[in-house]
Amino acid sequence: MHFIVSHTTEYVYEGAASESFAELRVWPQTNGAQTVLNRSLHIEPESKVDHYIDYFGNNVEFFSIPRRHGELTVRAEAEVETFDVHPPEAVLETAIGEARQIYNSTLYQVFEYLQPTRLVPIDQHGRIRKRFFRQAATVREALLGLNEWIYKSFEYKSGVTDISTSIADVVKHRRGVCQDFANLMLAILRSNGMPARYVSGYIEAFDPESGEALTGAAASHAWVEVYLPGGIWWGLDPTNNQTAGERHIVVAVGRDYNDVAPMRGTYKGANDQKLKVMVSLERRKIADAI
Amino acid sequence: MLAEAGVSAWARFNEEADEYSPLVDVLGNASARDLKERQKRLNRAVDELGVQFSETGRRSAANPWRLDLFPQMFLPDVWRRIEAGVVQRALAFNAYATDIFGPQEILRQRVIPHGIALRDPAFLRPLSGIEVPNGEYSQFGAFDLVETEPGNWKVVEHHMGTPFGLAHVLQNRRILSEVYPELYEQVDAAPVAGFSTFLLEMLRAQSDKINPHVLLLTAGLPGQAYFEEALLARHMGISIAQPGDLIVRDSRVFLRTIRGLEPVDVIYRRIESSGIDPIAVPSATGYGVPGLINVWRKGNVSIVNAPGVGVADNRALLRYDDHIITYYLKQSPILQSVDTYNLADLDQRNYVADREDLLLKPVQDHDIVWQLCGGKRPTAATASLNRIAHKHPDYFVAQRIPESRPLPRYHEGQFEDGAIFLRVYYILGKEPIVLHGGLARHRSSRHRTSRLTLVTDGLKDVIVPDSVVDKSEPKRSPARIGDRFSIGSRVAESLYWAGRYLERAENTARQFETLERLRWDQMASSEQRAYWPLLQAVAAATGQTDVAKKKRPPSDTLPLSRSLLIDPKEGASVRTCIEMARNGLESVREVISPECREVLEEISLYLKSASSVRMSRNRLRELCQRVVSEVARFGGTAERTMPHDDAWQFYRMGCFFERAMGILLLLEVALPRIVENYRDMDEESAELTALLRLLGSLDAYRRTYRSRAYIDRIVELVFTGNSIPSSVSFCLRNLHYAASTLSISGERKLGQSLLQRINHLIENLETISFINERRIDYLDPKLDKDPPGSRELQSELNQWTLHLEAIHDKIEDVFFSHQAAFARSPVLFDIG
Repeated sequence: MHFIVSHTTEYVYEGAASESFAELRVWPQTNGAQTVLNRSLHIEPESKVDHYIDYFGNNVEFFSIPRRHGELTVRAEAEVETFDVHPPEAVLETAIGEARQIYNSTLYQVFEYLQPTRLVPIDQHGRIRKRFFRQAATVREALLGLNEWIYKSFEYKSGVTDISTSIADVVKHRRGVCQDFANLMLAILRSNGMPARYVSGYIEAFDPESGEALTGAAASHAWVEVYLPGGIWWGLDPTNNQTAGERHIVVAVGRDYNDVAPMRGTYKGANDQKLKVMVSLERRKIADAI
Repeated sequence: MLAEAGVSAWARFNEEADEYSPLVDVLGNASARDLKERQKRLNRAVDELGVQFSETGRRSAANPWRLDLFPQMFLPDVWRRIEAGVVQRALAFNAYATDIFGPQEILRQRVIPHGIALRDPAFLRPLSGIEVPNGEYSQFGAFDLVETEPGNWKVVEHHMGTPFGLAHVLQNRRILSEVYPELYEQVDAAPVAGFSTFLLEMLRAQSDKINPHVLLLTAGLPGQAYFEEALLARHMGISIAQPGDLIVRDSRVFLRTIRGLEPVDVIYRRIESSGIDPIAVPSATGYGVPGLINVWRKGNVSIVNAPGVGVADNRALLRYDDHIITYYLKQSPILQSVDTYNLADLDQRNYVADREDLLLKPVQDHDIVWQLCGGKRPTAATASLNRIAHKHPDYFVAQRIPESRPLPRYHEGQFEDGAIFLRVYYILGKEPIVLHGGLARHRSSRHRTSRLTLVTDGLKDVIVPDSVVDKSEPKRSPARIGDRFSIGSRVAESLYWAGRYLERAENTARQFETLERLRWDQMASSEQRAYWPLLQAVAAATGQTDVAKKKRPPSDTLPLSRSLLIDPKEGASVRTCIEMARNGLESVREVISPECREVLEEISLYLKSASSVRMSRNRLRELCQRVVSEVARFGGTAERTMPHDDAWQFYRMGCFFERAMGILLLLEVALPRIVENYRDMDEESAELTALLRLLGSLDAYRRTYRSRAYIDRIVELVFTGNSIPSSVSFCLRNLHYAASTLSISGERKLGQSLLQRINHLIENLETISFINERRIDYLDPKLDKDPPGSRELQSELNQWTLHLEAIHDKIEDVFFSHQAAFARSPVLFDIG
């Protein structure tokens, strides 16, 4: 599929702000399942932008605005083509026990995706964690089972959690947003010896053909990728009880939210700020795009 | 003679102690009394330093620094081996850091377990992929060694990130050689003092510029670390910056200085890598310089030691140090490390489990370790650390600290056996340098989790024979000296305010002393009423405005005096002012001479202890006199011991500004009231005389006018008496002079407008009503015109106060906050 993605972040400061700095991770990846055809970034007030690629392979942009300003707008636009890619059947049929053995033999590659982080502690939710990962279960069963369980057991509710909400709180209240579900899933996967990483990206909210609506489209979306035997990352979206497909666009990956935060910045001066984030995905017919 | 027995017995017992024979000769022949006396002098000398080094200014109580009479010594061969081993290790572990933040070949090739590196809390991913020149992550570092048998040293700890303790090394040598010069006559000790010069040269060499701007970046928290930083910065002549002093703009980092933003080329980093840039390395505190890592990544600033260098200090690596040295250098290791077990490894963990002779340590002394281990720092009890390690073994190692050769340690009149750790420092670069000396300290039984402090009870000087020093030729040629750099805005601001606070304290103290001399308690109530305006004026000048509103005087002024002098909660009390000045200067220690600090410390301690005693009138007067003379002593000491540079000028600007302000505030309250009660033909007005006294100008008045006190003459003198130190004119002229020496030139001529403003005020001094309206013959005091009413006078004086305040705002804008600098940028300013 072919998308025009637009991701706008708008800060309106109460009073003048100065010395704004920010690091952005809003540049979609090019990988086996998607290709970025065009990309642009607009910052208002205008500012010079630096670029580098981080440890996890994400495109990072950086800018600074030292002078006084009352508003800051960052608009990232990209034209992305996505493909329907699936892991080989044989891999999905691998038994969990066998998969663990394979991980052990290539532990260096997956080590950091098995470690706890500040946002994703492991070895905590004992009762939840074991049921899906019997040695004999196939990778597909286990992963889709977990994906569905989170989807069904937790209520999607925005505004009740934020970045600092702990997994324990999410489990206790059984509700949260995509980010919470991704954290929870990572914790369970890693506790069970399944290497997994955090994905930030976008999702097409409404399928113009089938009429199906998906959750998490108004802003950045978050889901999880699991490292499958053989080195394939498989995207699972517990918020929508789906595998990540053509309607998901991957922007950045890392161990947890801190590695992929779309915009992290500081400013001085103003006491308060109003933040508005707008994400839009517009599906194009191939003919339109050309 | 106990002393003799101690040292000589030790020497007989330790046959392989040739290096110590000259020492044993000297110390063994010294009388017990002599040794005792020397140790006393040593203690006194470190206590004096301790005043600089302690956090709160409490003297010896808080200062555990004890320097021992018996130094650590070396045979040339042993030292050469240590030297070679230190350089080898530093190079190998620099290569390790470069590898980990880059391709991670050592992990790919399974030379060491990958978990050690990938789990390391110091391995901050955002710092990877950045090219560090020559792969020198740690240009200046240190290792802790322990002597397992004579001449054989093993590594216990790495300090490649922040090698703490150099200041102690330099001071230990200085003090011991002053107290016991005979020791150094017998041994040919290699000097240590030059090391800070090497450090400076290494820092300067990080930049291609002829005259790079080098500064030391610190969190600026009081304590041992800051003591060292201030001392090193002073020795190297570089400035100290805190994160808030730096700003990133267009991929370059700048220091906020009194002349605007000045680009920085080299940063000697003394804050943790994890706290250096809140954007690049997200942290809970949000502290740091936003964007600094990006500047570094682009190669626009050099940071020493490189952020991320902490990975080389990971204790879990000590078990594999031979692998690491062999892998990167293809050499066999010269120095071994002590046995170290990684609890992350199941076999090693099992081995460690039931052994009590091993010392548990976290892999890193980072706070992050404790966060990952459940969020609690261990308490002092060993059990506390054990519990955490048991639960989170991945982050712990256990070390076997071997028995080491004991050295004599002088303790309460005799020499006892004591074992030590030795810290050896290196500087890399084209030709690596190892400091010919080091820090020897007595072993403590417990691991301390802070790297930036030392157990300083029982330090020793470390003497390396001069014969090991390579005498061939100087390793570095002298660098050209370029222009001086501007002082930082924070430094200038601290000095300016210190000047203001000290002046204010002096002013208040002097005025109260004057008032107290009038013997308030013995006055008739009518007299008290007459003097009340003066007391009110003094109170108002210190910010006590509610006193100024009261019509009637209290029957006893003692409580008021007490609160304005010694109440620590009273924002403008003398005690608070002194504290503010002290705290302000504490944060800019590198520009204050130790002598100045000493004076301020003394007065501060005096006020603290005086405040705890019940204050009688006499005591208060005494206190006032003491404050006046101590502040004067500070001024004199500063004048004599500080360079009269920009920093000094800001201190002076603060003093003169505050004095002018004090005069105006005093007049603004006192004069209108005196005018109200004023009768032409009065006898000499006691209030006017007292007012002159308060202004410290009674003699000056008499010399100038040779008459009794008249309001108009007082006003004239106080406003336009150019040579009277307590005149507005004098203060403004000196303020102008101090500001004009700042050589504010170049592209920013902002200072010019400040000078113009001060000039304008000076020119208008003569327009004040009293002076302008009547020119009278000094010998004929008859008034030829009615003076202006009290209300007009008050509003006129108030105008002057406002003008003066505007000068302060201007100083702040131009030199400290740089709002003016940003406002100058066009276009963008209109937005919002």
